Amino acid sequence: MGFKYIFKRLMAEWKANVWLAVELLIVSVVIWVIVDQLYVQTSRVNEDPGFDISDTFLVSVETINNNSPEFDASFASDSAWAENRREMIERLRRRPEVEYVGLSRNSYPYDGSNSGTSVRYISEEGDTISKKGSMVYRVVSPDFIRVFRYRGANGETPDELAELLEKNPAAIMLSSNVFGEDFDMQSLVGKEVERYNGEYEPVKVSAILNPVKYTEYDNPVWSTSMVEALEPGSGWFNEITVRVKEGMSRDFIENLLADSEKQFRVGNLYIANVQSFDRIAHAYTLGRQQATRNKFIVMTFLLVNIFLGLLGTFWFRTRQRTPEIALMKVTGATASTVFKTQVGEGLVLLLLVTPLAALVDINMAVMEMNAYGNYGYLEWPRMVACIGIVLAIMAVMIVCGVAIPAWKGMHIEPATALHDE
Amino acid sequence: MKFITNIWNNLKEQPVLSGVSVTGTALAIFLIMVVVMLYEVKVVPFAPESNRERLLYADYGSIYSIKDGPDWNSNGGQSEASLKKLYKGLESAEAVSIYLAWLESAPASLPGQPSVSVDMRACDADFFKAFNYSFIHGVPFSESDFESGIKKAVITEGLARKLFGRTDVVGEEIRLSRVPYVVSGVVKNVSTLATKAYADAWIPYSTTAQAKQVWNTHMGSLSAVILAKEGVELAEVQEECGRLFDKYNDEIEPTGWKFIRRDRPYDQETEAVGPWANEKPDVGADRRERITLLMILLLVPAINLSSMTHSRLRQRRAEIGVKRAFGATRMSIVRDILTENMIVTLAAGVIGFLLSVAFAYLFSAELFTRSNLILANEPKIEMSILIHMSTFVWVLLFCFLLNVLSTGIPAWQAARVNVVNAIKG
Repeated sequence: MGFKYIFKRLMAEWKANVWLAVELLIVSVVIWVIVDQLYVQTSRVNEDPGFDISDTFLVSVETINNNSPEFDASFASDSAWAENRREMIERLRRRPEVEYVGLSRNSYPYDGSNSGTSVRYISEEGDTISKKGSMVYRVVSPDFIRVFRYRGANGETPDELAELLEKNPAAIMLSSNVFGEDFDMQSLVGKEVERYNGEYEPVKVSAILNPVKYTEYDNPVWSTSMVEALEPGSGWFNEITVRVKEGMSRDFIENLLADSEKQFRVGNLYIANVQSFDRIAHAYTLGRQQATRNKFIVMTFLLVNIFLGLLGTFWFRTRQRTPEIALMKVTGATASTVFKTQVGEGLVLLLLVTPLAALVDINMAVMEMNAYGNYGYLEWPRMVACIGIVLAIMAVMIVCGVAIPAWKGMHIEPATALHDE
Repeated sequence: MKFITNIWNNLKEQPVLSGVSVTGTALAIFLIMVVVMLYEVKVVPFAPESNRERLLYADYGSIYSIKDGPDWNSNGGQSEASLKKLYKGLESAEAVSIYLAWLESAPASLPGQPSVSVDMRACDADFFKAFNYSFIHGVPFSESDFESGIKKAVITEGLARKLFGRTDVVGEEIRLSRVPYVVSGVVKNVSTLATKAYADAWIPYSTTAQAKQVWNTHMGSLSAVILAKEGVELAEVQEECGRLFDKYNDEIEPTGWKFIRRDRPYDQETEAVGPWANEKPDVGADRRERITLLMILLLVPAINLSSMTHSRLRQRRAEIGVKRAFGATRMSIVRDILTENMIVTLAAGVIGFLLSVAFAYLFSAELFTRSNLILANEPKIEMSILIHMSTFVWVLLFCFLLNVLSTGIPAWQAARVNVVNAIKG
């Protein structure tokens, strides 16, 4: 039962097999497109995002306006408002289940708002290395770093980074990928770079951070960022985030809201909403999740089609070949040989189609019609892995589709089948 | 009847092949219809967005300072003054409504009671003309209520039940973001799928502070929606918008600012692609993507089914041979086979369609929830949202296409049999 023999059998039925081959080819290419995207996405999602949202919450504090009967005019001044906000944060900090309260401007993960900036570095030799545009710029309090557990590229813990930020409020922290992969970022610690703020101004670098992605789906190469200290004592922040002690996040929202009228009504301020970052992350990435789910549905649909197609075709073939199979058996073929020949036909067809499909796949990658990996569209290790995965999934479907008719063929009784001959 | 019996008998001849064919067809129509429904929900009219075909949206505006040039532009909500000049004067419009660009998540309560979180829309009185809410009790707040900033609110029956335990609450006071409002009307609940009309409570934007914010002299936090007069082409309205736009740009030139049009306002289909502020949504790309997907969902099962049909017809060579011998033309044989298969395809298509409706109901939250928004309500599906005349047209069309694609070639091959060979056995 060699390859040659199976090939001969395939050629004997070439008209029907051309249809199957065309179907396998189309499905192979479409599934490759999907597998390729999922491959890139899965490897992205499994990378360290640079932040940790477990046990974290966003607390929205709102101000009662002068339309409300609860409005108290004696707290209407800006200074009273700022004082009330400080008191509100103090009370949050004192809450037993709260570990840290972070303050920030457009900085938390999955935040719809962000700020961008550029930095450049002029080396002693006078070479300018710059990063412009898309660098995300986060203004945060030291405890914000503890809330989201940022880590340093040199292994600094969140506590160490927070202390560095506290001690050097005028310095900045840069992510390790700001000037590209090859640049030795650690050499910048303690030195000055220039940041753009209307014009370039010198600023000291206090630490190098592990890259902090915007969401887990983002390309780490593009996730460059800068962290700056929120001016100590400043009221100019729009985000209050909280890390709750481990194991105490379960009823945190309900409990806090229940106590909010008694304990968290300060001046004209009140807690309007508390959301877990799990929920914020879910809502922010829902589009991505739905797209992923849709890809899985389409892939399953195509595979089911392959299964049905092979099941139908081979069922018919087995029926037509009943006398032939019976003869095989009479001439000494075992049931398992009959089974293997049938399944072999399906697999050989797949193997014949795969090089063609691979050619199409590679062409599509050259034409940039597939997923962008970390460095480009055509990445050979990914290409080989994805073609391998597609081959494997399709082989499984083919074996399943052919197995049922082949099993029927196995049990053909030569005496009954050849009765008429 | 005899025709149907014949088809049934033919199917029974080859139970496995027939079963596989029917399953394949039903599955294909099922998935195709899910794709169609996901799209139709975004564009086909249903209450209260029953006028989607006559609506134009100006969610955002784009502006640049003449001094810096158009490369440095600012995009977002617009000020009340700008929107009034740009759209309120439209003669081809039946109503133009201005509203706060975002839905607010606000605490709602009765005085002294714990609050529930609701989605609140701040709008003007024309909002209730652009969209067809069904009022169970009361009326919307009026133009003069709006102008004088009187704190009246329209709420859904769902919210009325949550707060009061009943729906006839017109004239009662509720607190929205801790500000007292008097309920002027109670409407039926609105599905989150009505993306613009959806909310739990509607208040006059003249009673909020955000609506008055202005930046870059002409930008702010407001959007507009335009209901075209009946019988007026949307293109005509857009043309008139263009004239008002140019006029307004001339008027504001001394302030040093200029608006960029970006083909606004957008029709329902464009709006559905993505209401972005800084570029025009690419409707063409969206269509191409959808058509590619539908092609794949149609073509793969078609090839599959055609190989099945091919096998089935091979079993009927003798019968076709006899027909040919008695003078049937090839065309008539092809036509007979196509018709016969069309009946089977339609039956399987109906199964697939029913499956897709059941699927949409069962998984409405997973299928229809919009990303990026945390809303107070889950998307609710109703027959009126899911099924329209056009839905049936799509089912028929896709069944027909699937039939022609899957049966056309095998039928033609079968009709070309050599009569002598076919009836020899």
